[in-house]
Amino acid sequence: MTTVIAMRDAGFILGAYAATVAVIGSFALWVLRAGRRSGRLVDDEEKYWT
Amino acid sequence: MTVGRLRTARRIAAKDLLVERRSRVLVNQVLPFSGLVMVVFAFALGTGGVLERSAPGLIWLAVLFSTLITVQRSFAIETADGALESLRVAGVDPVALFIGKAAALACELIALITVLLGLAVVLYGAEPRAEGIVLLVTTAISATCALAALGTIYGGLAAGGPGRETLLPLLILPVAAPVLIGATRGVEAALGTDRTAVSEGWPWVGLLTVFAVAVGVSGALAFGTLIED
Amino acid sequence: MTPTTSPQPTARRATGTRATRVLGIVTLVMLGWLLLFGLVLSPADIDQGDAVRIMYVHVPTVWLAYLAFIVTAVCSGLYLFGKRHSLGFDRVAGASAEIGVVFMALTLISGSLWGRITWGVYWQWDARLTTTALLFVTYIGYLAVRGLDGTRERRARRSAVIGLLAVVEIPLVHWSVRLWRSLHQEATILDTDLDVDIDGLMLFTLFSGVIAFTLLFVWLLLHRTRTIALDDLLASRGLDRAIAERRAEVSSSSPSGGGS
Repeated sequence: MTTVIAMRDAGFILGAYAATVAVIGSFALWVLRAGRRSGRLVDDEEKYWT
Repeated sequence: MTVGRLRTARRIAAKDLLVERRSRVLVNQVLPFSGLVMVVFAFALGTGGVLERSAPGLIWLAVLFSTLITVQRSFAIETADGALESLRVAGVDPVALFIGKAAALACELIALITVLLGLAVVLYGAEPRAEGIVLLVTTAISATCALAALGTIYGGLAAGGPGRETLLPLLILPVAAPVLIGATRGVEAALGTDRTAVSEGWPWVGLLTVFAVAVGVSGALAFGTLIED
Repeated sequence: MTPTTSPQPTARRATGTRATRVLGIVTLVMLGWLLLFGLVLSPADIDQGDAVRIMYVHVPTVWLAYLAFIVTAVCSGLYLFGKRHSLGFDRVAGASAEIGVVFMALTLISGSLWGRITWGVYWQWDARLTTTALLFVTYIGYLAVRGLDGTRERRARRSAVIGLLAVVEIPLVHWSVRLWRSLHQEATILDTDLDVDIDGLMLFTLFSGVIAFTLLFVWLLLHRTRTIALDDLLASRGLDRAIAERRAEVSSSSPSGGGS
């Protein structure tokens, strides 16, 4: 971890990684949660992937 | 392109212009608005040379903003009493409808641009040079055709239902970038802003023409689907 | 109200299957791998120093965003010109555009942070950057059009047309912006491009990034397409139920001659 902190411009670099992880993570969670919510209301035979 | 299609297009354009002449919305509302925009630019930019240098761009920004209103107006008269729907149900060719609406819009925009260019001479000191007149007129015409085609495509979609008015700027502005860039550079060359030569303007007219043709053709093909509802 | 059509309503599953679960785990591992190599194991660049590490997330996101928009365009075309006008293509087009917009937003964020380090400013009016920003806004507009009201078919047809119009317009936008930038060749402090000489471990890290984000794209696309399919199903069922209720209302109220 010390090598990471020792980087020059660590704030910007880690910020870019953090933004990427945060945005993708929340988008993925949102998609999964929406799927779970709607999936409960539909029978499995109607889902083409089951 | 059949003769019948052109005749229908001409009738639709004539109808739009007649409605416009009767209601005078363009003269009473859109023109004052765009004049006001030109004045407000001066407040924002100050008068110390910046205004004179950016005059060509400001003219086209004012045109772009006014185009948005004019497009909304052009389709509001159609949807207010379901006129567009009746035209569609009556089997009017969507290609003719597109050409007609775009032609009427182009006529209105040309009138608007002429006034704004005159206003720019007065307010911004943007006087055209004699050798740049042909370039100025060609740029204005090609940019107008491009804007009219673009406005008609997305205007038809945005007029389809309530609450869609705010969609129009979002759809038009990103793809209007070529028009704004090309028309501004063309007028810069025509006016000689920043010591540009007249010959530097012609490639931009080429760009505008290509854009107008591409958007016009694809718009004519797409229009039928976009006004379906 | 008891379900009469299916006697035994089976377990209600979400959008995952065994395949997507495996894919999801592999994606997570690859993303962790990318973090490890991108932040720790890969060397700093000679010219750019540690700033080059941003490339490992910046470049894959922009590539995948472009790929997502290509998928949208292709699926729009397949929907519109295919014989069956399958709504499946429309759903893939919509899901792909959404993911593309998310990836492109990430590209813009990481790119501006990278620019802040190498150029000293967040934004530069370079042709590539400007086109990317305009592309981003264009697809936000596309998603707005998808959100408009209407029947499924109308919405699908409309957004397919908008998706294909973008294909005509984007090259023209790019061309005009390039012409515009080539006019003003200002030699400034900003002349360091984001390009770097890549070799060895750096190339390997970038390659892992592309693979990780490609897997992520496929995983997101599968899930998002299924979510849209579920929502469509629920919407149409809601409509069916409304019609059925209306019918029941009419048939029960007509013989008795009124009443609520």
